[in-house]
Amino acid sequence: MTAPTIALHDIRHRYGTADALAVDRLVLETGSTAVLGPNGSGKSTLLRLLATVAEGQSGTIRIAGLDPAEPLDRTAIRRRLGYVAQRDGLPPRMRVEAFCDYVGALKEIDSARLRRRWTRWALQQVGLLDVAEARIGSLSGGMQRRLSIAQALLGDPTSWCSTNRSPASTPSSEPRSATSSSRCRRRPP
Amino acid sequence: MSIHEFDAAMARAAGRPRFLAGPGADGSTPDAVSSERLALNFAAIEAELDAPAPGALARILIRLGVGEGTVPLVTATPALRRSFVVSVLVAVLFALSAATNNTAADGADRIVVFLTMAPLVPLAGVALAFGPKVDPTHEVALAAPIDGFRLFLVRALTVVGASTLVLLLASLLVPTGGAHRVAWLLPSLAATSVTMALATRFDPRLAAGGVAVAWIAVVTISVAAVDAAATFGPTMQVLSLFATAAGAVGFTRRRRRLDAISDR
Repeated sequence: MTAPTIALHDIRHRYGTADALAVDRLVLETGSTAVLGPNGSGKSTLLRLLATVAEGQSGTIRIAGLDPAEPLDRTAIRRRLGYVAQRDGLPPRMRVEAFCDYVGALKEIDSARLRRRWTRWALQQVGLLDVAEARIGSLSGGMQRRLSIAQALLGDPTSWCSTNRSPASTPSSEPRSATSSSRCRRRPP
Repeated sequence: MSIHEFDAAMARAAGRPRFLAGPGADGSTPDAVSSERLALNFAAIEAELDAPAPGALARILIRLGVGEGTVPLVTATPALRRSFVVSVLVAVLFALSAATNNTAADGADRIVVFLTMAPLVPLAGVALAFGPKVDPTHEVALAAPIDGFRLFLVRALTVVGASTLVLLLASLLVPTGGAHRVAWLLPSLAATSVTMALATRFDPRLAAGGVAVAWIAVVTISVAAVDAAATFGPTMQVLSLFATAAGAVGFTRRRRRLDAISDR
């Protein structure tokens, strides 16, 4: 029997005096998982913990057997991760291609040539190659959302974590978050 | 050499099948052509042909030997650009002020003001170089494998380097003081180093503000107690060196705190 992709035990998270998240046990296998719930129910906190962006306060988290609290493990998790932040994190004055180039550098793609290839490939996947030279602020909301996805695709992540509301997949008007963890390997550009 | 001949030559050299359809110059036909491989190669060629020319700052950094993986961290970070612009702008205004206010009567006072304020200039840049409040890409950067320590260090060094260069030029414009005019240099390094260490625990803007207030208080009390020459004399320089070292140790030891958002 193989270890689950994601396992959480006794997670308690607070912001000041307010309880943000309480998870006794949660196990997620390889595949796609959506996390649904009303505002303030801890969806974003959960996903930020899984994305290693937030530091755990108590309990244990294992992602593919790795412990996000350990620096080396955390880096290893991040090398496999594609992350779309709740707030898109897009600098409006930056150009689309330069932004992807910057994120590529953050993802330790050190060769400028390789970053260009990844950038073009990712922009092509989301249909933004034609606006590579445009400033991000000039893009529509939908295009900006696709750019957030493009930056997450850089570096061929095997896990995916999105704390973004996705209008296209949201049946009701309630905000939702979704995460998926998959093994589908993409071919490098 | 035609493209077919080139393809055939490269195929022979690499011991691989030819990519291009159609007969080669020697009349040979290609072996199995991988359309996928071909598409990838053309995409790579297209990416190179369409590659935007690097900006002036990027070209300078590359000439200085800065690695390809580091250049975008310096040039493409909007938060850094803002901090860079703010810091250098303040430094330039400061230089102009030092150059134009050169009356002999208040020269002694002006050198004190200059030496007091100069170490604060890089702090403005460091305060705006890192953190969720000033960098829209902060969360994306946290989820990336890059070390937060390295990212902060690269940005801070860029800001400090640029503003220090401008301030050194400004020092030459100060009408009085002789060699005393550069007595701000070590206190500036100390203030920056301590700010970076404190930024591992507090918001960088708060850390920079606290260090700035503490520095002004120390100088004000010291000038009132002794005089300007003694205030910025050897004792201050030695203490600044110690503070720089202590800040660097603190920053390095607490580097892991820059790798995730702590909600404790």
